[in-house]
Amino acid sequence: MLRISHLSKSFGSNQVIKDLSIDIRQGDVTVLLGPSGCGKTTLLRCIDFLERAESGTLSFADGGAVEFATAAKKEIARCRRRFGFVFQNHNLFSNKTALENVTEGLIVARRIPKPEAVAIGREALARVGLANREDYYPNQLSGGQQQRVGIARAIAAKPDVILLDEPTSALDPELTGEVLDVMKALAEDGVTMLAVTHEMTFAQDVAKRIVFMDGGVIIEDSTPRAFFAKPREERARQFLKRLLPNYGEYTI
Amino acid sequence: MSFDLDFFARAARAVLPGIPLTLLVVAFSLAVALPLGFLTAVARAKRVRALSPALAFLVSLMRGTPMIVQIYVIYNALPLMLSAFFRKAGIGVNVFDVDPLLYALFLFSLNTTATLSEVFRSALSTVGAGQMEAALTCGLSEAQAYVRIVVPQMMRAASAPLCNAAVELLKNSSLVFYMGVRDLMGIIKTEAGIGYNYFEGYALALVIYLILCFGVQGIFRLVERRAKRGRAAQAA
Ligand SMILES: Nc1ncnc2c1ncn2[C@@H]1O[C@H](COP(=O)(O)OP(=O)(O)OP(=O)(O)O)[C@@H](O)[C@H]1O
Ligand SMILES: [Mg+2]
Repeated sequence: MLRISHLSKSFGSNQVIKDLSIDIRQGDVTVLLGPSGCGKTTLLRCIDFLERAESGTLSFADGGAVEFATAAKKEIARCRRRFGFVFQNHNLFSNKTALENVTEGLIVARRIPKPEAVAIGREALARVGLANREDYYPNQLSGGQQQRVGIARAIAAKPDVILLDEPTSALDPELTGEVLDVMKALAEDGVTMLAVTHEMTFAQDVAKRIVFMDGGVIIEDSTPRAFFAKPREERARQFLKRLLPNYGEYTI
Repeated sequence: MSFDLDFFARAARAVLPGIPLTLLVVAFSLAVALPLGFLTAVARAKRVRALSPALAFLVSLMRGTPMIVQIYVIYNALPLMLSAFFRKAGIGVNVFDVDPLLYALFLFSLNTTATLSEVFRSALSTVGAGQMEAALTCGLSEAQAYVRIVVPQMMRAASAPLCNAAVELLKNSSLVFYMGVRDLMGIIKTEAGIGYNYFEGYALALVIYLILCFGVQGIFRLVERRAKRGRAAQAA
């Protein structure tokens, strides 16, 4: 449904993304793995124009393509409508309630009439199990609840793809479950996701596809079954060994 | 030495017409400086190439030099420069006929803009960059994000220093006297000079500025309270 081709991004002389191309298919849950500093966050941020890539094209199946480097404000705004973004530390608007966090973009950016936006917002909050928290401000919610509001905000406008950057890694271990459950439910509903996460059970059980990155390039792109059974690349094997302590002791 | 109560009462009456002028200087400068100071702060935070250093220099110039020096420069040098320019451009305006109040408003607006830009700059830094980014990913434009997300959060840090700046401005406005503007300080000085009642005159000035200062603080507290009511739960 959308394609990123030949994306490159540098910070100063440090090239972080190197001529990277990736297709996102409708309904797929793609988990992006890779060692720290390999450019996962940067890739997601470039896709949603939070960073300006030097080169690369974003093209959509329903026609239309945008150059990352030269896209004008209007084009960027149009592209951003196709994405929802879930931040590692949620970045909820601290001056808005949970419901207002969700409806803000609907009302202000998409010009949906307020009653309709509120209905959409309530539905989104219900989907993440927070129907009874709509009037709470972010600092009145637990970390897991905050991140679920972050997810509700990202899915409310039904974008083509949700980009998630380690949505659980800032949470206490006992709070990650509720967020992962929400992500799993979305996956079952067919929501398209591109997620960076170190939650290996999620990657194994929910992902349709594992993309392994290192040094700014994709070095492996396969199904979870194939990837976790026997990654083709030595670097991927090393990575799994570090994340899964008893990896390699058994084979599927 | 005895306190001349008669003079005090007389001067108090004479000075009343000067108060609106003082308030005009304060209100006008604030009206100019609130938006301009904010834009200056944003432009500097964004590190716009040539603009940000230029603004930084202007702010240092206004903040780092005594107001009285600025007043002498603006009041003496600016008319000379302007008149030379007008003569060359063939504009038939005699700058020496221009009401000195205009110079005063110009200088105080500029000076207050510099002060408020520093207030806003530090207040902006209390709002994390993630708030702007989240707003952008929700589809808001940068301007919408500032108005709806960043500024409301920034005001919590800005409101106290803003009030201080307004009080400072009120006090400094007494310096317009040196630009030939007869504000309340000017009137008091003339009145006091007639019968050599300087002690009573300055005591009167003290009282009036104190009252005005309470007024300014009261207005800020009112605005603050109304803003707070709007986000009552958030303060928890
Ligand atoms: N704003 C920035 N300025 C300069 N360098 C940056 C910036 N953001 C990221 N980098 C660099 O880009 C590289 C990739 O960073 P990125 O955050 O994309 O990695 P990551 O794969 O998300 O890592 P992690 O798993 O630790 O989150 C790193 O070397 C980092 O230092
Ligand atoms: Mg990262």
